[in-house]
Amino acid sequence: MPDDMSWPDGSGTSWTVRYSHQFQSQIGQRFFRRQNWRELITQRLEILLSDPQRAARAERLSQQFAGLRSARIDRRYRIIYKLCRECVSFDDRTRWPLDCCVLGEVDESAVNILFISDHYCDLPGRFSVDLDSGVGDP
Amino acid sequence: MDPLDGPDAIDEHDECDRRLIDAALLLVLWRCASTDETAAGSRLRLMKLAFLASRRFAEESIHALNVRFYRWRYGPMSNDVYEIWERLQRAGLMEEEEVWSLTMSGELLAQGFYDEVLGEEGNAPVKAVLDEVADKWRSAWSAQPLINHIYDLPLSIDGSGPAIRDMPEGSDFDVPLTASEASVSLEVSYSWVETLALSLNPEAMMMLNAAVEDFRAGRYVVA
Repeated sequence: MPDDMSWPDGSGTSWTVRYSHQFQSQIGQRFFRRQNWRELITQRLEILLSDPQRAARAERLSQQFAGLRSARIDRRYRIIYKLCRECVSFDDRTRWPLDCCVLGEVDESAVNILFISDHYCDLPGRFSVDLDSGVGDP
Repeated sequence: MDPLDGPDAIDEHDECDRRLIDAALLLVLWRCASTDETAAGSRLRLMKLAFLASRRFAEESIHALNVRFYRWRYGPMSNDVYEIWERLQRAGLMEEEEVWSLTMSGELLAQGFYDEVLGEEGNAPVKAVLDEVADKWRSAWSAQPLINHIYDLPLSIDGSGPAIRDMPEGSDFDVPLTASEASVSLEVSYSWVETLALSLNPEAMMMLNAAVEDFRAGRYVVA
């Protein structure tokens, strides 16, 4: 991870978490380095890992994003991830294949955290964002 | 319990979600109203098609499209539609040269929304309006027949009042019905709203490709 902060590792759950470099880079950006953002993202990841198919308003995506999922950080930001378990159950291996899909070494307990999406990045001024903390309404 | 599922949870689509849904509806309309596979037409044509769909929704007491119009030099005009064009263009779903066209990604998204969202039984009235407007005006490549038709329409959907051509420039048309005012509301699942949000986020595809490549190149950490 980009610094000494520990991120949820799935301990206490049956899940293993893998974080992409892209996610780590985003977390390292100034905006997300604020303490309250880190706490919020950590909290949301912990909630997500309690049940990656349902918690944190998890949704399976469609169309060109089929095979992926989104989970809510707050009103504006989402964690985009992929469950190895669904590669097997929904035959998602050919949709956005990761290393495990290509190598055929699927660990069904893996939650692959891909990136954070700013869902409404092109709609400025439509959110009540606290400019000091950067954190918006959930 | 997830706090976002608690009493403060957002149970209805908020304004940002509505904007996404508006963009998808218009993308479908413009695709269906085209004889060509991707070319949709001039700004004037697409704007008038959006107005006619919006008006038909109001006539049928349907809450679906949330764009506002005002009378301008060549008839109904909407800043919301301009915003939607910009969003669709930034997201690589439409492009404008001499006329607006859907890209391959736009075509696929429109087809998916039409089949999976508008294909739901409860959304049949919404689909019927879009099909009706598209079928009626598909062969009218020029905007002029649409403009003439719109100018002759009465200002009010109940048939009363002056014709639209007699409206003063700058005056507003009726605002779209809210969900509580309408008999039918378009239902869009959160799964599809999330898909639309990513599809309209110009950075999403780049970040997704980078993240997938990270995993395949071993650039990840196991926490």
